[in-house]
Amino acid sequence: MIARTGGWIAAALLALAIGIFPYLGDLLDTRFPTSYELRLVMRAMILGIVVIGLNILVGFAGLVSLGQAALMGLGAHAAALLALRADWPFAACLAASVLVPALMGAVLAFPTVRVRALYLTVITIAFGFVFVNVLREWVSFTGGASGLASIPRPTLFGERLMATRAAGFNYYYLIAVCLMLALWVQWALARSRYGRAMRATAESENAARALGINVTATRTLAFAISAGLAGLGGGLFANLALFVNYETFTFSASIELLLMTILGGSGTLAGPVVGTAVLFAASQALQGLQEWQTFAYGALLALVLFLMPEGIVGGLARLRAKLAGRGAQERQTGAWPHFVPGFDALTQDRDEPGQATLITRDLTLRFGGLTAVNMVDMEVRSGTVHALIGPNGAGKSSLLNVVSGFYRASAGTVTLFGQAVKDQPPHVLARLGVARSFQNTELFGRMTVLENVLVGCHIRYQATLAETLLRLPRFLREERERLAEARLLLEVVGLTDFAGEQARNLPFGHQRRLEIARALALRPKLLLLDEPAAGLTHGEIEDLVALIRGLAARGMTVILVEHHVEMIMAVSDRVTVLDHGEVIADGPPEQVQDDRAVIEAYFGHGAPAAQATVPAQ
Amino acid sequence: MAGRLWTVLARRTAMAAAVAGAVALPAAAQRAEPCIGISMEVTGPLANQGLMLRITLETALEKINAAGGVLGRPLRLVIYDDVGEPARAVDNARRIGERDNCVVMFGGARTPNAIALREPLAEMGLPWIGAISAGTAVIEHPNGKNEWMFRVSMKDRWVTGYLIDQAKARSASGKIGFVYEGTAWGQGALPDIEAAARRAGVTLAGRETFNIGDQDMSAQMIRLRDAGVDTIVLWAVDRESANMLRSMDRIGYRPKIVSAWGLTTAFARAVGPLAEGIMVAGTFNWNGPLSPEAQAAFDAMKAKFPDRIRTTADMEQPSAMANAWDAVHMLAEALKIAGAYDRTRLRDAFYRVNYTGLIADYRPAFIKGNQERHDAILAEHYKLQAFHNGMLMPIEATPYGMRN
Amino acid sequence: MEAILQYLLTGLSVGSVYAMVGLGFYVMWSAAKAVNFNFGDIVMLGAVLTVVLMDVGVPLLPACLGAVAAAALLAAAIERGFVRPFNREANAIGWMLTTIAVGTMIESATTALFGSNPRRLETPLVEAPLRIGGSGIYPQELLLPVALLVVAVGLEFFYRRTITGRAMRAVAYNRTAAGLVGIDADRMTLLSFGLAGLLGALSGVLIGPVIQASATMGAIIGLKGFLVAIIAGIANARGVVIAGVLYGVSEKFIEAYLSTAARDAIGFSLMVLLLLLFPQGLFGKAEFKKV
Repeated sequence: MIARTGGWIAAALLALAIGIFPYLGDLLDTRFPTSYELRLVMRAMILGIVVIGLNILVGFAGLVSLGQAALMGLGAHAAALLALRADWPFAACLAASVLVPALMGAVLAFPTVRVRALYLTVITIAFGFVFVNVLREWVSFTGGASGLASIPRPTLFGERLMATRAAGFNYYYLIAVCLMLALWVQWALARSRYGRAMRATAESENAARALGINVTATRTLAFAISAGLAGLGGGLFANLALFVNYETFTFSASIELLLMTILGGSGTLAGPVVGTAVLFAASQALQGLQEWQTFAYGALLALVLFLMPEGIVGGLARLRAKLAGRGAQERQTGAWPHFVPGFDALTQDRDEPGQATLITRDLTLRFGGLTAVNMVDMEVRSGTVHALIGPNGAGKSSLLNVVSGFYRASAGTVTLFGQAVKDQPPHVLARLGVARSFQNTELFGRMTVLENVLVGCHIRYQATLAETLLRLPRFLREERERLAEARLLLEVVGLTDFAGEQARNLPFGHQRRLEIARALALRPKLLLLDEPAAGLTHGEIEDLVALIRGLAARGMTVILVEHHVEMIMAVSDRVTVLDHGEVIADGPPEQVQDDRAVIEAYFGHGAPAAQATVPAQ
Repeated sequence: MAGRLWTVLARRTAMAAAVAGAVALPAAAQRAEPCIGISMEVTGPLANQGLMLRITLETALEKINAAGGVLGRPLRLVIYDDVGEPARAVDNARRIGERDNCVVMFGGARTPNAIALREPLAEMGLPWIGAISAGTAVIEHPNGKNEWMFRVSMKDRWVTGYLIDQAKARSASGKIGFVYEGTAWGQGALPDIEAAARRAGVTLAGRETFNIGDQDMSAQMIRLRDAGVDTIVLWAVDRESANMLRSMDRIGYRPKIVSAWGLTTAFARAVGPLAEGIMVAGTFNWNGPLSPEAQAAFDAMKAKFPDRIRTTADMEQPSAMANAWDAVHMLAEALKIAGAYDRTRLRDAFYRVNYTGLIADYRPAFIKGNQERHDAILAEHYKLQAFHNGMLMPIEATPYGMRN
Repeated sequence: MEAILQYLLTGLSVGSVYAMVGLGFYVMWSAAKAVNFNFGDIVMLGAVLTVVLMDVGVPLLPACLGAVAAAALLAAAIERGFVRPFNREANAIGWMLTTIAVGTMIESATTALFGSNPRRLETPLVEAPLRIGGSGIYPQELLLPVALLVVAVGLEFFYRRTITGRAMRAVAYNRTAAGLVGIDADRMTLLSFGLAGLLGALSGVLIGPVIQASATMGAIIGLKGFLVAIIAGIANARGVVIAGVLYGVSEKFIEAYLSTAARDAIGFSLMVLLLLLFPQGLFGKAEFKKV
């Protein structure tokens, strides 16, 4: 709460400072600021806008772009060319300077469908070089290396936009408004399902997909917004300088933008402004060092990164948390499962009782020569707890991964809720009502416990991006509702006191609880749990059993991959046993327990029947 | 506090409006400081050009100040780095013109940086005098209204004509090729060279380009060789030109080369004997016989920068250094004529400067209302030089001079 | 025909430099899942330090050895000081920025001390080219593919047959497990960066005589070496060698038959296309996405 108010106060102070800066000299009765200082602040604000965009990409979506200056250049050249060659009015040019790069950003994001993080960075580097090369060589269109000069002075609502002391500086305020808008977009995005989805995909792509997030769309959105802001900066720059050429938008400029992002504190809301201001001011202040100024710049950078690896704002936040942490009271871990009154409302989505929630027929999964799942026929009835057991390497997790869409089956069919779903990606299945946990918990470590659960609510928002950014009523209502749900779910798993804690700081047992709460936020009809008891204490397992039974009692179907026999006996309605990818037994737990084939699978031929009561412990 | 703030603001705004309504005061009417601001590359790949410029200007100013300065006040030099980027050059121009309130700005090497300055300079009413960047458009503005930018350097439009003539005179086959770097300077020369070739009745048998940082130009050289080009007009700087020479050497291609002034002593140091016989258009040469004034200038630089300047071969930007030397002296003359540290009066005084410098007799240095003549150095002042024994020499002092 | 021979020869030599620098990136990446982003500066130092040492009277060969050794030491020091502290978490990118910072310092210090002008690195092998009809090549340039071959084979041998090399591979394969069997993973990473520095500086010394030594000579070579390593799929040494040489040669043919000015635009576009077609790199193994 304090942080939130603090943020608003900081933003208001920033706006005020920017607003009165041109008049500072009048207050102090000195010749300040001159057009020089005005220009520096304008340039810094423009870079700030670009860096905010980059922060959305790097800090939120976890994608590193080293071609951001080229996107800025694209915006600058779009604005300049349309003004020079097509006589477009300023407002239209500025709009184009946002839209053209945003489109390009979306195109650049396409490779993320296929390539991994570092490869994407390389693609942005290549894009930057190609862009600069084209600018330089397409002399007839872009003016080549000499660039585009004499861009007409911008006019808005009949008002000529000037940027100097002598002629007036209304353009200064236009840039300031754009900066505040960019900050607003960043804030509105961060505090919404879109921003949470971006951070979630950055933290764990798998978990994000399992929660119904379309990772490709999310990254494309991040890239498009980021590129749009870069382009806006470019368009503003072109109309400030009234001259553009490729040299402002080279690879080294891209590096500088990334440095500003990280130095300020990537992923923080204030970081871009701080990082831009510090580095831009440093480049001016170090001029006195003459031929050693670049060296000093590098040294300063290294020093700050050493002292504050998470950036200036990140470092300060950590410091504050440390100071605050000393006086904080002990947090209480609640008992769980705590089926609070509102919980029933959250589990009302269910498949019709008695229906086959999941049917697989001849389901086969091969990795090269290895057949992990072989011709599996399986049926899971709605409202039951269905255990999937078998020795290590039997194909249990593989089967789970096929059912949840992570692996594509080599052959056979999967029917969920009466619908054939073979080859559907995880996020589509999640939207149908399939939630899952992971063998090694996959939490969004740097997000808070509450945010983790909110990501689980992702698919149940209707508000569009525009509604979200403008904070329209539907968004506000939904956000309020989801927040209430998330808190309720935390109460169910007893983590209410930990809501503000980063998930990675939770003890292991709590992480398991959180992962289940997050899965429940999806309001699944089918819940897949991959070894949820692994690493838990005896008492914790008992709680888990109670939870699973409680869910089943509310009509939820649960598939459980587990080794822990006591738990399986206690919790499941039916057990399917896999060995070498094939179903070797299927039936109620008591029946399977005595099955000869099962005993052999666990202990080899000739194992005494008596041991079958304690397999795999 | 806030109340006071708004009162002051309101009062100031009202005053400003009143003043603006009465008389629009030109910014230049303020008394300026006796300082010369310069924006150039202090760091980065062309830092050496900046260093040579600094050596020249500091030495010249020391001499002028030792003699009592100008109008009784010593002239200061303030140097800002633009890393070769136009936006930074404009930042620096604003700093020079507004914060430091210098009376004049001096130009660095890069043509686009100078082009980006056109409007800010006019808006500030800040005279600019360039000693290196040679792009035609720096001085000859498309709108024909250059009022603030002056140059004591070469002009590409004239250099191209000069070099085409030289090439034509030396080519046996009449097949002349043009090789230029992919910068504003190189690309900017292309239309000029086409026009010059047309005027001279020469058809260019090849046009090739390469980028800064390129290390091998075999493809370009093979194309020129196969086109039968025996004389090349070159528009590039040291490092890439050195790599080009290597590429020529590989394929055994040895055309005559007449170059714009991007080639300096550093080029000869980089390629050694391959530089022999390459001709360069320039404005001045320090390795030939020197006038007493030039000798004094060199001695002063040598005395002031003993680590850098030991022999005349260390004057790594020979023409640019002479340009800057003359420019700063003409500036001092103009200030004396202006009679005050006033930018507008300085601008007007430039047109009244008559001065005998190292390079030429500038009579007059600049002509008002004729932006073509905001260039002080004329084509007739250009001097052909050639590399001989690793030194850039006046052509007469080498075996490559043409007997006329 | 002559021309084609020329493009093959020069392409081979410049490609060998890309490949050698790419191998440096491969060695670093294997050990640390991070690289010295401004590795080009190590390449540059190889050449520049040789010139500096020769300036003070050291003969050519000792100067080369001294320069390579010094650059390699610096490369290792960069790992210790600027990579390791910033590479503790998975997916950290701190190392990218700190190595950029230290690279900026190296390059600007070199410019300030050595000057921004290119300097000649004289060896007997660039005095006269070998001519084959209308094409030719400096013996120095022929040295590059030879050196590449030696380096690649040596690296293979080192990784497979020596204790240290095997330990490095173990670290590359699984850092934690390597630690469990008593391998000092940090030390191996340090050595790997030193080894990469050796490769980088060596390529700088070898190409220096052809393209002159200067403070900025390494930037583009370093970047292209990195891109080549990525295109190859950075975890495959042979792939890096092949991709490096191929890229060098294709650059020459692009210059010859498409455009010299737009060489990088075409070359880099080609790279992006290849990455889209082969998301794991040309020679990278398709990694199975584990869930």
